[in-house]
Amino acid sequence: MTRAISALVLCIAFWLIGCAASQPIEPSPIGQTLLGKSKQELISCAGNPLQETKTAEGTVLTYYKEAPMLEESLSFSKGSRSGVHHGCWAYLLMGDDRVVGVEYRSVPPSVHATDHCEEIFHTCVP
Amino acid sequence: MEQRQLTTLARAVGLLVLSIFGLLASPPLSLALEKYGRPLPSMEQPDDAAAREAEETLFGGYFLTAAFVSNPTFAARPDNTGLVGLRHMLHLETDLYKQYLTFYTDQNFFSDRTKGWIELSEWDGTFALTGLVDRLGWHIQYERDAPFDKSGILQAYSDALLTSRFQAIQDLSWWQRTFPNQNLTAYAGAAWLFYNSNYFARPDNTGRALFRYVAHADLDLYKNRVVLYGDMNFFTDREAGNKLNPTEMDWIIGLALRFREDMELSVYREQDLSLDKPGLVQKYVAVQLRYSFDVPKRFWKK
Repeated sequence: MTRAISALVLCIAFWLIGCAASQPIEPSPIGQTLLGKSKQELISCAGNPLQETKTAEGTVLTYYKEAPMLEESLSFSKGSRSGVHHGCWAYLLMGDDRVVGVEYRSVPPSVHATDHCEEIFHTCVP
Repeated sequence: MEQRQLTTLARAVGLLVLSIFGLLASPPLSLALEKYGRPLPSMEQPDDAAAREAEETLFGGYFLTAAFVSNPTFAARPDNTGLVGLRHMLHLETDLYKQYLTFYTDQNFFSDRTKGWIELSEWDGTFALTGLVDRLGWHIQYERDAPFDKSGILQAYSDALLTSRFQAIQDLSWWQRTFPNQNLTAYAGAAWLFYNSNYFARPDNTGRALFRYVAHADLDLYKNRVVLYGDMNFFTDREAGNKLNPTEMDWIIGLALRFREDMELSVYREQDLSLDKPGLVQKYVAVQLRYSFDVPKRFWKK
């Protein structure tokens, strides 16, 4: 029994060591497909943006999705261990009523949460 | 159990702790940022920051209720009497300063199946501060486990826990290509019980806990709808010769189905056993329903 536990603990240790070098994030499929969509198309599939900001480069539409609480905290036998509150901000730059730029930003930056931005727009792809 | 086996385990745990510190010393994280098409102007204006904060969580939590469908030995009170029948818990948390400082509390209740299942037999209260800086998670927690239906042993402790976090989708470049709808999140770390009033080091209520080693993994099988999770928790005994050697191991394995964003059904099995000598093994299988709630800051500002 102790050998099995030791082996498991060792596996976790080597796994963590193997993860020491952080890798760049691969692009998500939905973000790319938003380019070229009109504002009306976006609103019909993702709803109204939280904010519209006019800039010199064009209007920026802002969306946000917070990770569900069930994902952020798990319960154990006599209590819980809290995870991290996190979410994703999506900024869409509009030019001539078309999406010309997309930016997903996880908060906090140390937690990968761009999948929650993908959830905002998941009904925007065919 | 042989001394040699225990030494192997202690070395393994030591390596785990060293690897955590190695991970912490690793190069800076790639930012969780994705861009397509034309670059966007900077959105870091004060008004934008305020708008973003308004959407983030003010406070959240969940209720859960669980039925211990199989429970040969998991005790219903801190003095190891009775057998748990039902479990109910309220979890509440709020960010005090961004993700760096969060307060949470758990109020957990057990009932005794040998006394009719409904009447509560134990009340466990936890109050904690927790936070995250890059990969490093921490908490300072006070837990008090007390009998509810009669007087008896009261177990309490305060501990400081340090963990390191790993996310496959962020840390392994091949993961997202291979498993776009899956993720693996894990953390491991160690805690020091700097205050201990009757918090035992074995399931048979012997010894007094000093250190705690934790390892946890969530395998998201499909878009956070189906999650397989495992958790290991080791305690050491401050009264033992070697205070670093684990004397108790608690492990849990479970499968959670999130059929709504705010509702989850899970089945899990826990076993708590003594590692350094034969003794009571506490174990059960439970089915649990969890319902979460989340209030964004904009509700408060309204």
